[in-house]
Amino acid sequence: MRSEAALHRLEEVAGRARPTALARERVLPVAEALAALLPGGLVRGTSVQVSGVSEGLGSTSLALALLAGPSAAGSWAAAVGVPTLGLAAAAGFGVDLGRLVLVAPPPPGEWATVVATLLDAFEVVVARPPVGSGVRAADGRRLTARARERGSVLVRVGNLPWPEAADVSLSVTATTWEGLGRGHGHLRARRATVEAFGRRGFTRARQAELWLPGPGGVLATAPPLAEVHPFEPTRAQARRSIPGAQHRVQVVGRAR
Amino acid sequence: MPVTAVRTLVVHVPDWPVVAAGARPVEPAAVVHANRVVACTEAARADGVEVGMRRRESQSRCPALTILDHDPARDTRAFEPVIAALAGRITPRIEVVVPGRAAFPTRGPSRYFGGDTALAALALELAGGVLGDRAAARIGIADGPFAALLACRPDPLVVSPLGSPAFLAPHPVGSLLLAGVPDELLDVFRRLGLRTLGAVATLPAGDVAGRFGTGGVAAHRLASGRDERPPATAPPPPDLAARVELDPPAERVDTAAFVARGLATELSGRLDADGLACTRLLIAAETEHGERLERLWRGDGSGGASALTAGAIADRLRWQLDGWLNGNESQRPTAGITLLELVPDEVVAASGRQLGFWGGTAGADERAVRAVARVAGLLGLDAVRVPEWRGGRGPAEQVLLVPAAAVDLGEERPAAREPTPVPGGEVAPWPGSLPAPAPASVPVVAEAAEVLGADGAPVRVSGRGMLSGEPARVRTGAGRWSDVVAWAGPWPVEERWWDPAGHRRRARMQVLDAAGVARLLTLESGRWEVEAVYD
Repeated sequence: MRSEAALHRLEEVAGRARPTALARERVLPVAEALAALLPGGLVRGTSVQVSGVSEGLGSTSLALALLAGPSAAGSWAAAVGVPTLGLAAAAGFGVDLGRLVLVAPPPPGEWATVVATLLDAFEVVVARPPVGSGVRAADGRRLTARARERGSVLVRVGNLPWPEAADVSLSVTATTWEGLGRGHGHLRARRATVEAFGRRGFTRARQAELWLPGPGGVLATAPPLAEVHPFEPTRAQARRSIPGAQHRVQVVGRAR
Repeated sequence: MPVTAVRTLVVHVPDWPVVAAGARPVEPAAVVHANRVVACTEAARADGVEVGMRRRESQSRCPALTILDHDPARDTRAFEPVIAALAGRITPRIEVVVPGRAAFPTRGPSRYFGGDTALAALALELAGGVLGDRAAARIGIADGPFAALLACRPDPLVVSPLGSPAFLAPHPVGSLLLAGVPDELLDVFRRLGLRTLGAVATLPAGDVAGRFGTGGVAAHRLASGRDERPPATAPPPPDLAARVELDPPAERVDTAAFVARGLATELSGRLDADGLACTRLLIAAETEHGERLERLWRGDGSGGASALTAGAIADRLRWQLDGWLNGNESQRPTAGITLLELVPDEVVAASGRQLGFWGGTAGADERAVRAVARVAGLLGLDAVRVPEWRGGRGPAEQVLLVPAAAVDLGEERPAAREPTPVPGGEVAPWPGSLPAPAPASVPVVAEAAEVLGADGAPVRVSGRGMLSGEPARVRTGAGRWSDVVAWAGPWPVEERWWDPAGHRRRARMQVLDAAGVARLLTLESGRWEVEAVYD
């Protein structure tokens, strides 16, 4: 009928005229490589725990990979209490350094206030609990509530436990470095197996293989080892890596 | 034609940031902010350093250049005695545009001190007395602050009343930059063949308005020697002033500055609600014992750009308090600050800003800036930092962290973007730099490490870059020993061999241990350190 047709046209026009970024959209975009782990993106208002099986096995890279999606899409991001963040690596993953703010580790008494202030304004906040004292139960609840109210995502890093479990937990379970031989080559890329499990929407744990980082410092999905093709870097990436590292030695270093 | 310009005296000390930093004109020195030169001494200019040049280029032109960091609070603090000397003797209505430049109307003081020339000589004597031989002040008197600024000379120049158009005519069009006219407009003038202010002034006003809009009209007025301000502004209504009482009194600048931010936002909000923007502001601070410091501040820029934003107001309030509380012993207040007051002195109709729907990107920028300010108030200005690309060999040197308070977060920052190749070329790599990927964890203080060969002896790198043995075990700090599975290197780097102070010789190695942790180790002076972890 005429009214139905008019209604359809009106809906179509409204769909086209909608601003491209509604502030009340429910998810933040994630990098393509992480899409298998977080289908649909990062839900606003949730918290994500990033960990590795042990120190030095890719938890920081994973946190940076998580930051890359929202940051490249235009969100502001802040990192509290992580003074060792490698910023060149962040830029390689796609984090926009012009919208990243780093805050020095605050004294334990003010840590919760600082993180709450940052959650008010920044869409992604990476926070490491204060060394030694951990996070108090009241503070943890307050921060979760603040994040939910503001629609910000709290990314928890570090090995100290939080009073409440996070909505999503990402952890690196196995890594394999490529490119380094015994006295030759250089670290070119790392294959990492990342597991995601959580409370909502996760019937069982999800797993994915990523280049974390890949050649040239980029983040990418890694094809399963059965059908391995040599990674063809783009011309920009090829210019950046040393020509002559011919030996692709698979070095397997498993987490203990 | 009625003269609407206010006869003004301008005191200008050129290159004030370097003078405030303590550099003498004979030494080559430059103040650098966000990787660009903001001000430089005469000796540096003689070597070819210019304002706006990049730091590395200026260093390449003048290798002996001393680089000083940009500190607006220090500039204001150092300029405060000059203002105080002039305000105390001549007139309290002295306004500061930027530290290094101050202006005041001369009608009353000129009559009191017996003429413009006598007034100029007195101002020069007062300013010279405070500055000593650090710098030479320049004084100029003319109709309107722009003409007076161009008239500034070490030997004071007084332009006769109504003589401004003739005085301004031979000046090049580029002098309008000092009044805040955008460079693009001046470029258009030059390309149209208008190279002097006189040429711009001969254009009919109506045609200029039609072709260039309000910006062009402002430039035309300045070039003709008429003042830019609208003729008779009524003083702004008194309820626009914002004041806050501090209880307990603030002894330190940080505490007062934190409150100042909220006060500036309140004032800005009140002005916005009335559709006004403030171009001149009186900032007053009062202590418990009744001492009061008042200063007039003018926004720099022209037309709408000279309106002071909340951030600019908060900055000026902070500088003024810094200058007062940390300045000269004789002028420091004896008690804490109890009252802060912001009184708009001159307002213009605001041109407004278009925000995106539901806040949008502009809203997000503002929220971020506000949160940064709040956190900086809690933890200190140095605790909140933002990254900037510097370029370097090691992972710690490539990106530098600068305090967030020193940059304008709301604006596009080219320094935060990775250097892009010039059209038709490539980004030249740093010789000796590490290949991608970059490590994700770079400790602030490098942790000591030990690398042992198969025979149990520590691994060394010879002068020719050869390893003394294959690394077999590695540990960091007091941790557990791990077997080395793979390694690469050593990659020796010798930096700044010509500089005895900055000379560094080190060798880098990438080491992968049995636990799967890949590290970047550095050997310097016989000691191994963990420079970064590929976390």
